[in-house]
Amino acid sequence: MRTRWRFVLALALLATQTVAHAQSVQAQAQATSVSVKADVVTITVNIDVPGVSKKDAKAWKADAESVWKEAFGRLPYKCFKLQLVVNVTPQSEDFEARPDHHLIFKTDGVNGMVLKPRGDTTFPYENATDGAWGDLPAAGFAHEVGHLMGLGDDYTEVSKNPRVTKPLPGRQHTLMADGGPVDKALVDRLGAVLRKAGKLPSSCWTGAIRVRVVETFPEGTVCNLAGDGRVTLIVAGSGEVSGTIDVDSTYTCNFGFSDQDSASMDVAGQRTDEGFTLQLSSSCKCYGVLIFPPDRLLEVPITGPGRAEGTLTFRLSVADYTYTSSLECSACEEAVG
Amino acid sequence: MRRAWRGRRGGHRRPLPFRRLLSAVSSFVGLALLAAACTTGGSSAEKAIISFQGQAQDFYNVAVDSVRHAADLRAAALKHLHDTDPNVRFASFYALTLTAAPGSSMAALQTFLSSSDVNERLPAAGAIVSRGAKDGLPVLIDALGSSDVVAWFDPPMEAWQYASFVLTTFTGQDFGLTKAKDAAAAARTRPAWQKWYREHGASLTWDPAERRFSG
Repeated sequence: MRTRWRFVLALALLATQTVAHAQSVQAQAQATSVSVKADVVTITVNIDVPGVSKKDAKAWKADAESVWKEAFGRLPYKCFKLQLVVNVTPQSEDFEARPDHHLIFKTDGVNGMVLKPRGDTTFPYENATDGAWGDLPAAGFAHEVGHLMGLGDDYTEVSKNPRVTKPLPGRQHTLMADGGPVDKALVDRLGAVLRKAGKLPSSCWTGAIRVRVVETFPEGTVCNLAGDGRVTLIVAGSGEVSGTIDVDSTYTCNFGFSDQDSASMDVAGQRTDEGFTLQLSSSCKCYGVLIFPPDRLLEVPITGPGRAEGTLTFRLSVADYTYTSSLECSACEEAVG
Repeated sequence: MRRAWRGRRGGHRRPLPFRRLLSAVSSFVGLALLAAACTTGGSSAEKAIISFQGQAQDFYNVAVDSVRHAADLRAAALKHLHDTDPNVRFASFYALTLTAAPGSSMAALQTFLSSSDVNERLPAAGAIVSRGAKDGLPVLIDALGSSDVVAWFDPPMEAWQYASFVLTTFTGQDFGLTKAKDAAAAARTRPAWQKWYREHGASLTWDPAERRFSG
């Protein structure tokens, strides 16, 4: 008897945990989701479309992605490179809504609308929403997907019956106003929505690094490596840092040798209140010289609000290394209106 | 966050129209009719039209019924197309642009081709062209060069933009129109479009699989 009760209890516990797990999975599933890898932020919009053909689903995806891809290619948000993936899944006409997909009905005729709160909103990152789209130009699909990324309309209704609308001041000929191109203000608003939704890393730092390596060999040969680089560091909420250092360098020796090279290196480390402690996980061995020895740490102290600067020098074998770094935070603690 | 509107998620389908209807129908007979309305597609579609107030939820209700109850919505739209309430009239027109089929609904839309209101004339032309009726093409060609705004689309489009999209999509012709950046540039392609329609209009045939005119 006691064994049977234990069995029932275990079953009940298992069932509870299974339901809790299912709820947790459901809570995590998002119709519009964001993934971040280094400085690349990928927004994925999942859409179920009752009544759409596979051909139209493919066209919707291509149209929306192409408009935003062109925009993100020329307009980064701070130091983040944005990307958009739109997944359009054809469904039967009586298909019911899923919590991790937006539900967009395919209508006949020119038509496009999404149910959403007014203005820019984090709503699509927390909830699936509904809409109805028909025949639309590429900018029309991009506009509707803009809503599913949290952007509001940039036009206002100035009268009813007959309805008359006009773009908001300064927004004429832009995507969320009248189907015009994506401008910087839209990308910045999208970045602000992502930050408000908690989808972006804690901060992003960019700046310059100057590298000097002077090799003095016993027989009298002296070689100089002079490099100028661009640093991009992404800081997670935990203080973990990842990023890249891109360096263009020249190497000259006193016997007449001269050459140029460029290298992109991965960097990882930690950010504390005092500053950055970085280690290059890969280092260019340009002209036989390591631009940064892998067993050394690059420290860049914080010198003011949103600013870190420092010079590091050390000698290794026949070489004197000098690194001068200057970093600024380009995406720190912004408020979203 | 509270949603000010409801889609097909959650228990309530259309709360605002429901409340409106409930306040108007207080008798037992009314409630019985309401119950019937909730269980039949036809009455549901008609409700989407007669309760239309121009809000996003109202557009959504009509659009979804155009997919799920197309025939009922079309019938309701024809019934209310000349309603005295401008909202109901517009909802009927909007429903017809989404559901028109050969017969009385297409004929009803064709009467709007001569409307002085760009919000009626161009959507009517676009709707019938997208269903293979070529008599909307001259209306669209005429609109190349017009910066009047077709205001109820999301986003609103200038007339030349709307005409440009419909013409290039459903005829496969271009004449430089897709490169036009404004009404003036679109207007410059109009003579070529007019010439094309003069020469080919009579022989155009509709390919329903490709949804495109040829000939």
